[in-house]
Amino acid sequence: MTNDKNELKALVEDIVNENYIDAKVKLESVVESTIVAHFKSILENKETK
Amino acid sequence: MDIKDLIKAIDSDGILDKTVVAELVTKAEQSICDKVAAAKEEGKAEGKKEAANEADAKIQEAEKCGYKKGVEVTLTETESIVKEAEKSGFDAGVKVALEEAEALANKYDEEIKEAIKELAEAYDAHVEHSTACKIKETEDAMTEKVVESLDNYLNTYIKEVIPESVVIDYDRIQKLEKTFSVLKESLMITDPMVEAKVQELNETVNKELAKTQAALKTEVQNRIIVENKMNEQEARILLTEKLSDLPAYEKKQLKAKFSGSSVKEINESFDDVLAKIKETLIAEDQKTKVTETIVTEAEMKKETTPVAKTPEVVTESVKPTKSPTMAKYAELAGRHSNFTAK
Repeated sequence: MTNDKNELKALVEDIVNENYIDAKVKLESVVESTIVAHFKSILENKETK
Repeated sequence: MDIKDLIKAIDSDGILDKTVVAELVTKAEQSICDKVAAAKEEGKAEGKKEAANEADAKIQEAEKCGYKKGVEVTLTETESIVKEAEKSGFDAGVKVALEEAEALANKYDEEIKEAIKELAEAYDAHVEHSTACKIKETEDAMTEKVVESLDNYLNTYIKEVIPESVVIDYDRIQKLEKTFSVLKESLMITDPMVEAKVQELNETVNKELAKTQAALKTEVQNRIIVENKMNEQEARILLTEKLSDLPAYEKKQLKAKFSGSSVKEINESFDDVLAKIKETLIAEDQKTKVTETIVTEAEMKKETTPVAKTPEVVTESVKPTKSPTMAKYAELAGRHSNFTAK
């Protein structure tokens, strides 16, 4: 799993509890983390090559 | 075995183990038997004691009544009494013991009932708890699945949206920017002495600039004043040149008209104004000529027809030197003749 499991869990719980404002904030944070991880993985692959 | 042990003995389906139940019942029965035996012993002892006491009392009484007469009979009676007393005491002891045993059995029944009730409550709680646990487990499993799906979806989406080439380009740009910023920082002056010197120089330059600006302003103002004066002078010279060849009347009129005017104004309207003045003079000359003709004719008439009694009146009325209107006409005529001669 690339993303933080607890963060995703909290996001799902917010969605289930219809707490959409907090869910939006968490989703933005998760997307940001995913992008950062994606960048890191590409750059690390590039360096190893 | 207390209630905690009982709850522990409950299996996952909430049912009490049979061996435990049998053990519980055996223990209860054993306890009741023990209590009954103890009560019996106690009753026996109490019965014997009471019978002995009664026998002592009877012996004392019999001794008082005349023990000597029938000791044997009394002894037999006493024995029978003792036996009877023992029997009645034993029966009373057994009764008490049975009552106690019954009370104990009732008590244990109640305790067992209570224990069973608690057991049932514990079982219900256990069932409720296990159901809640199962629901929670199901929920957790579903959440896990959703979390994993979300993670996969995000990863796939980001990989599609941001291709590798974009990331590599971005990295290059970032590195370049970093290099430039490092270069910039390395080139910057950070020494406080140098900074102070630069500050001082800045202040000096600013002061000099302010001074130069003030001087420039004054110079510009002076130049404007001088230019105004020069323009005035040029206009005066031009007007003098233009007026130099003109007769005194025109000169006076034009001087009054163009006093304080600029060179441009003089050049533009001088000739027009002069032409107007001349036109006015010509018109006045014509009027003067008509008047002179009338006067001459009148004089000639006077000379041809002499009047004895009224010469003084006529002379006075036509004399040009004495009338102001005529004097003006004469002056205008002289000026016209001068102008035409030129």
